[in-house]
Amino acid sequence: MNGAVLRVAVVGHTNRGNFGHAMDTAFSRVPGTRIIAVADQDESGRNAALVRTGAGKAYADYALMLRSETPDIVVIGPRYCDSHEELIMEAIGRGVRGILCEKPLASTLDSIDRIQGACRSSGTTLLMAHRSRENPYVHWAQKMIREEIGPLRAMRGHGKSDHRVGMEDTVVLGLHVFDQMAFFAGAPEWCAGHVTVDGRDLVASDGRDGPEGIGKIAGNQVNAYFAFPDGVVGHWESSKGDRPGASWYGLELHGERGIIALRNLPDGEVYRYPHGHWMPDPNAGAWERVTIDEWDRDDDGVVRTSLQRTDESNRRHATALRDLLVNGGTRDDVSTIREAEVALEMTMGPVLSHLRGCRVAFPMDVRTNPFDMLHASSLG
Amino acid sequence: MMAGKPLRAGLIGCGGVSREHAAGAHQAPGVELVALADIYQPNLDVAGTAYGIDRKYLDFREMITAEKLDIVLVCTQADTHAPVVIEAARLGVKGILCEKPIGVTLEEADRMIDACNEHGVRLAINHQTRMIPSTVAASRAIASGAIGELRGARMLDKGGRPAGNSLMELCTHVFDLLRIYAGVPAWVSGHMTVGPRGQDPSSASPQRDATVADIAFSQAAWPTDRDCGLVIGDRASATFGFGPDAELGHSGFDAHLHSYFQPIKSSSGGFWHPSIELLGTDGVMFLGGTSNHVDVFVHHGPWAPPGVLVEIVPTEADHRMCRSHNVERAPFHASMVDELVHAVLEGHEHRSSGVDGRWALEMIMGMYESHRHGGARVSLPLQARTHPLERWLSETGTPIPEKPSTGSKPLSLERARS
Repeated sequence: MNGAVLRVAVVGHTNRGNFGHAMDTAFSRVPGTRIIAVADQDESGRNAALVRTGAGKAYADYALMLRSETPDIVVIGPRYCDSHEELIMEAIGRGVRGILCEKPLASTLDSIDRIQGACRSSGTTLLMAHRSRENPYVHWAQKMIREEIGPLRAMRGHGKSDHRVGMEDTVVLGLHVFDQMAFFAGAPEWCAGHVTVDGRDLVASDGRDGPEGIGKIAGNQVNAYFAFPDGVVGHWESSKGDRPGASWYGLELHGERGIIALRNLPDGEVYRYPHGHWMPDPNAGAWERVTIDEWDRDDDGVVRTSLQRTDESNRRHATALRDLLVNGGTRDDVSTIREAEVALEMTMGPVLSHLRGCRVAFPMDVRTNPFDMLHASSLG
Repeated sequence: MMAGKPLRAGLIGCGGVSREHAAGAHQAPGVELVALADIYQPNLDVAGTAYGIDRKYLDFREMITAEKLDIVLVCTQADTHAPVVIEAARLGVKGILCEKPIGVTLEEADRMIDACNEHGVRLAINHQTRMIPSTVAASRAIASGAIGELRGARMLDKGGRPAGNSLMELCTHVFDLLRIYAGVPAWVSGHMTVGPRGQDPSSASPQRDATVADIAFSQAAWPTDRDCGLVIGDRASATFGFGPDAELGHSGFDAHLHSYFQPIKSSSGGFWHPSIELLGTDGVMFLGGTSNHVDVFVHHGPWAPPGVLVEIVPTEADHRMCRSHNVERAPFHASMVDELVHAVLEGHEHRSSGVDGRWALEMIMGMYESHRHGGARVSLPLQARTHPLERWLSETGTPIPEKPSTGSKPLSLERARS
């Protein structure tokens, strides 16, 4: 494969998650690759994608595209994760060597298990567009933990707390924060969660189908506690915030000798504080904003817009997938199926813990949606 | 009402903490510190000279009877609070200000409260942050919508000692302070870990889950501490669930605690100060300081920087609420004594009552109970009232660890308290 141009096919589904967060153009600026075709059942969406990507062909039928084009790489664009397994399996069955998938990978762990099994047996490389590990701020924070503020003691994550506050916020946006937590501290060993609906404790019958195929969800306030290796702990909160325009979304890293605040990445701001405990006292030190031009500005020095940052994130994922297919090996700046599994367990674990009233060990014994498990009378 | 004869007060236990209690009693109006008691004569003599008191007793019961005391200030070690308070109530005092924590088991706390109720005695526990005007100002600010509806809380304990010890020494203040704004916790999930000890903070990692073999008496775990009974853990984390509280105006939330063992002072020149962050729908309130001083700040929106921090400054009315407008030094201990005098004379509960003190201990014991059951969510108040760690030892057939024999030590009034 070395030296050859990798052929990329893209699948989207207009009005059912579209092409995700601009996933169709992820490979537009990646040397050594070429977008050859797009698939979308919707004609207008298909035609628009054709223009955006510059692909030579467009298909209404995804399977036909795979049969006809025999791509090396497939980009799974729809946000609706209940379609991902089928799309991935189809691609693997057609001999695709690399897959870049919009998050979440799946709505259940057993679906991830099946995807993982198929990728292993076929040798397919699958990367997740979690949009966190590729971010230079995240790697800067990791360096700071190693060299200045560490060892890491605790992480505090907070959801966006918009109209999706609670479990939807946890599943859709918490996923990014959970992937970051696992990046800094490793996979968690167990979790404890508490989920409420308008102030009362969630019960299993509250479960309702969430949007975009994420499965059953419930609760407009989620609190979770994660135990990571070596005594590092993590908190997650998604609770109602009323202040218009304010986003609570972010992650604080508390080390022995300092704090780093990753706020609302990839578009937000990053700060560091020189002590292990913040005190609003000028004598105790001050928060300092950190900027990294490599991320904040384009090659011409112009500040990137939010959409441009998303494009840059996608480009880095796409480049990483190309490099892995060409050169092999592993790398820590991208998320694989394993990271998708960890992140999904961190979204499902708290609600299972809440319903059971005790800690939930990882890997989780329940591999389907916890609400569905209850209906099968399998909750402990 | 306060113009009559001052109430007669006696102080029991002349260790280091007696300094604040004596200063408070000297400065509070309507009360006179007339006598001291301690089982150790050298301490008694040093304290008598320092506090200007010449009536000194080796037996506190004899002091209460001979001096016809109205009030006693109990400054003994925590494991003796229960017998001293119960006996003082039986001997007819009208008010008791007991140093925190209320006791070392909930069973002791229950008996203390029952005895005081039976004999009509006002019992107060020395959680003096309730009498700091800024904490009252914080209540007022929350009630006026400064941060919207309360939706969460984060607590950080002071880090100068292992977490198990710190829970009993400092975190009892943090829990008591949180309850002003949060109400009554419904449940807790706790997690304790231990790690290697050393002067380099990095040596506190990695941690492992604390086991029954890690249970120790407080003075074995950290020799300079007071006797606070059985403790466990270098670090502790807990989540408390608070149900809806119409009076406090919130619909329920979770509060997280972190307590780290930070064996050396930070680069900013000191240990961390205990703190609470109250997360509201419209901003965050930060309460940080010590047991004698609390700064309160509000920032609107989720994050402090780059936003503007606004300090909540107590008003004269807040000072009056805390009875601290008429004292200059040690104002909050004086306020605690002053409040006790009012409670006795006016027949109402002290604003830091025995029941409040028991709730702080309930939260600590709940953490232990949860941890020993693998972090299970444990309902509060606990049904079993004996010490959870003692039950853990008993149920696993583990011998009770050796209790250090510290004996009575000469009192140094100059010794810095942490």
